[in-house]
Amino acid sequence: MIKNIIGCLLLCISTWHTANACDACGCSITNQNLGLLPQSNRHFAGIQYQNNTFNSIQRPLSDTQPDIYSEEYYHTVQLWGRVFIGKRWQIFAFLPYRNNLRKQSGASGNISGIGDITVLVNYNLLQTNDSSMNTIRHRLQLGGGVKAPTGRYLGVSELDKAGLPNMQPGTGAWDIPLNLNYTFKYKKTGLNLDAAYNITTPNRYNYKYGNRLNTQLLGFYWLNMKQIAILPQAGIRYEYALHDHDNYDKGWLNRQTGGYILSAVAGIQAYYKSFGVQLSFYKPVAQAYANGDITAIQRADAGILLMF
Amino acid sequence: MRQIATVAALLSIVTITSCQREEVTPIQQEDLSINIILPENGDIYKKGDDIPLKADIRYISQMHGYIIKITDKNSGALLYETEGHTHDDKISINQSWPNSVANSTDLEVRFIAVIDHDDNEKSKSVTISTRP
Repeated sequence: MIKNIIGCLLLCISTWHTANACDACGCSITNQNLGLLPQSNRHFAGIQYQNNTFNSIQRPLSDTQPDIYSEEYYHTVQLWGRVFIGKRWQIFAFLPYRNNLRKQSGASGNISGIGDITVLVNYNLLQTNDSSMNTIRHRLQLGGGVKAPTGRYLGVSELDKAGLPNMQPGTGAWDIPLNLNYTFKYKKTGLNLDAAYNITTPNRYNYKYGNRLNTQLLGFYWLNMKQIAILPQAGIRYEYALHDHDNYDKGWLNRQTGGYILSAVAGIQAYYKSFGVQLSFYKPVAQAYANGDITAIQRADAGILLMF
Repeated sequence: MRQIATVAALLSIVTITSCQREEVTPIQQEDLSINIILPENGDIYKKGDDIPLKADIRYISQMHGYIIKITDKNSGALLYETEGHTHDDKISINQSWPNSVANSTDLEVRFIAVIDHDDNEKSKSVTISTRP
């Protein structure tokens, strides 16, 4: 038990350290993942901080011009929550505030503002009782929703065309996010499979960001210490984005965009009565994004939530 | 059974929406037109003048962008270069370059339309003169 506690604390400290050391940012290259959700029968409201760091190369059209190197930092602070309706239906809502920073040749510029609001409606398709009599528990939920273009979007930039993940707070388009979340638990050990797929639509400039798939497989261990539940977790995350369309009506695919990122994930969640905290860190282990011109460096998430 | 059917339906939606529509047009450089509006062949500018760079480029499909180069025809020196990633089938360029050339010489102003990343491009130029 003592070993477990020390292990948890070390993981917690290392995750905190990484998140703080990054001093950067977090809009996801892809859409929202739910991950391992807290107690399935309670409402909650929370706030999350996410950061994503990328390095990018812009290749000029002219052979006589040098490549341009830059760093992009995506920060997101997000309010989110869940409301149960009956035993099987639940509604999630996400309200992000984004602050995205780009540094290039000693100069920097940032864009910030309210992002696109997402609402999801999920259905518990399969759920074993939370009774302690069950040593094996499953929970499978599926859902879908809508992402509304509430965030500021000033049109397609050259950075978009170069394949960089959108720097603006919004995308200017309605999207349809779908998700599947499955949790398997045997005694104190479990697995969580989370998949989110975002079907995008063209915005008023006829630019269509590519559909995006996020999948994440996490193993976790449930530790109870008096009234505190601690869940160290580790796994992998795979993100895949299809090519954007420069002009959707004309079928002009932008082959500079899209690709995949495979990341190792380590995280921890802790719950005390109605209060929960969550920390996660993502380190890419393989990737091919925007023809190799975009490199994901790392991602870190942290959040707190209150169940009621 | 209901669970399997629901998951299968979800996977079907993902599969169907993963297909991407794409219009593929074979490269046809003869269908690319560059109309240089300004400057005109033979125009004379002085040092300090703004030399207008105005052109319309049209193609039957999407272009990647354009490059403008101003070269001293006597020395071969590249005096100015700019470019834009437009990703469109119509490009309208309307900008200027402050002439910093102190001596008398001829300048080539070249507009290059870049179709793709595989060196498919077409260009057109005019020759102007500059005086101190």
